[in-house]
Amino acid sequence: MGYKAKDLTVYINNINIIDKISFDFPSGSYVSIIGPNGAGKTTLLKTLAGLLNYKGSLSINNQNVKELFKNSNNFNCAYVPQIIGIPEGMSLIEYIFLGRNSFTNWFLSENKKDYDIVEEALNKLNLGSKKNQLVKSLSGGEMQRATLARALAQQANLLLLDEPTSSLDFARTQDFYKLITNLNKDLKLTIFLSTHDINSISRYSEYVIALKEGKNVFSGHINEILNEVFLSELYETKLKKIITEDGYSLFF
Amino acid sequence: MEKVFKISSKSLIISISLVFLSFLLSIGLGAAKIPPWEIINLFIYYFSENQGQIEINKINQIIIFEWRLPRFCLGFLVGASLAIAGCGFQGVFKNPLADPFLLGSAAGAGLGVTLIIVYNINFSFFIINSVQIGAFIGALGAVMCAAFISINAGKTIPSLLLAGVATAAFLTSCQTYFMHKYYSSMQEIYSWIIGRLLTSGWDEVITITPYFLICFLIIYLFRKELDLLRLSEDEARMLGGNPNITYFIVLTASSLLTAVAVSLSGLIAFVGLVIPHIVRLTVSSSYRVMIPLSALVGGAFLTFADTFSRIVISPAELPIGIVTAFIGAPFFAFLLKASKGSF
Repeated sequence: MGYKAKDLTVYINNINIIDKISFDFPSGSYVSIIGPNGAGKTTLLKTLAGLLNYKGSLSINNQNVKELFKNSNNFNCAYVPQIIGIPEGMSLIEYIFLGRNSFTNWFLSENKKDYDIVEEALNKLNLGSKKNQLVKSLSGGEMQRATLARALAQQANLLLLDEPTSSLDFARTQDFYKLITNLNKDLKLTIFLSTHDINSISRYSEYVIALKEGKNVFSGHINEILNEVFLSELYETKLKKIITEDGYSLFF
Repeated sequence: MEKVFKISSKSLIISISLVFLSFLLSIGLGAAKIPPWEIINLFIYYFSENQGQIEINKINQIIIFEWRLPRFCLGFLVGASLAIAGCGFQGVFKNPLADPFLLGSAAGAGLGVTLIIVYNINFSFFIINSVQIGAFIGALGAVMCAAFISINAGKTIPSLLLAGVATAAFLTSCQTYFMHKYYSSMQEIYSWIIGRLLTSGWDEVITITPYFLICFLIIYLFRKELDLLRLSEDEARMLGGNPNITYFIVLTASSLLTAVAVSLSGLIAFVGLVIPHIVRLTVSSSYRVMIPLSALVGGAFLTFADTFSRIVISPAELPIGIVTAFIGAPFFAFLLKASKGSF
């Protein structure tokens, strides 16, 4: 059981973006995907989401990803791209209800169960007081929480986040990481998250996939890559490491 | 928790009241004025089992049931069709300037009608005449031409939009060439271009009704998909949407509605662009609400405009296309100002 890739290869417009990468993580893992710009982080997330064709094997709980998303009624994947669509004139509650789309059909609207699940998602993300506000008027941090609330409404088992904190300030970034760590622990959500923020993931993340030019230079426990030599080579720049008072690594 | 995506009873009552008011004005006003109570009386008589007990004016009965009611119905269906097609185009293109004529259907219909008129082609197919057939084939042909160009240019939504612009420009230049070559037909072509509602009994209403019902149902079934498309395409897919099928079905149904509407009424501008925006700005931006309400408001708006066009320089008639823009544009400008940056 878990998330397994073997020789996963992805071409986009005949260009090899992901080149024979392999990994194996248990369900409920919190995996960060790191690497320099253009390494293939977004492509890997989209492939995990079933949005791209691939060669090699990619399975979740021993089932092929595409078949799983197509045929399973109790497995849901939420994908949040780096640039989120913010619809004009849509209220937060309507935005979160979009997460229930695949549970309704062509003719019927949402039922009481859908309303209960959305309400629970709103409350869990502390967005209850904002539910009638337009999503356009939400702050960056609130918008990120709204995407998580939509994922909860979707009853997602797998959460794929593409550089979710790239537009957040320092405090909001820490809040966001704490939040998804709680979701990972409380709801046993598997999380794959791409980021450049090594210092935050060294605190919160459990596993890491390091990519460079489409190749997998490492996949495994995060502690194994928290050293100056590995990260300096990965990002092709000289990095220094210090250890904080509470025992975490900081790179600069 | 209050219901979401629901048509509020207030907005539904206002929309239905607008339709009812437009109905009374459309039926009641004209060379012979018929007061509302007589209209209601005539309808009670028409549907009554004991017709002998009700006194009615026979001339007014003929005016209503053979002339004004078909015209009201045609105006309502054309207005509703254009408004629904506008919702479909705006939903797919995510562009506030999108209207039913975006993919060249107006230019195609214009060229089709021009060719029929300048070459004096006269035939009919059941209850449909040659001008209507020319407009219908021209409108659908233009959309298919734009789609064909787009398929060969990467099948993307921006490429379809640009292919529509190129197709429209090319077909308009062809139409202009024929209009100049056959100068004597220019007035006849021009009077079609600026739009008019002409009925000969119920034929036009019978022609448009099945298209309207089927296409409305199809676009309405895609209401949730259109809401998902307001996010990014990838997000829509992950939430269970199918953008490619939605693009294809909604654009096909919207183009068919537009083609049949222009074939019966000419090029009535503004309705398909502005009515969805009016509903979006005043009621809701969800397509679950916009599609049905746009149909009601679009139908009411066009029948209001038609009534105005009939009475303002009576006994002559103004082209309805002039009236829709003349009334609609200032109202929309006012709404835009009130929306305070919603666009």
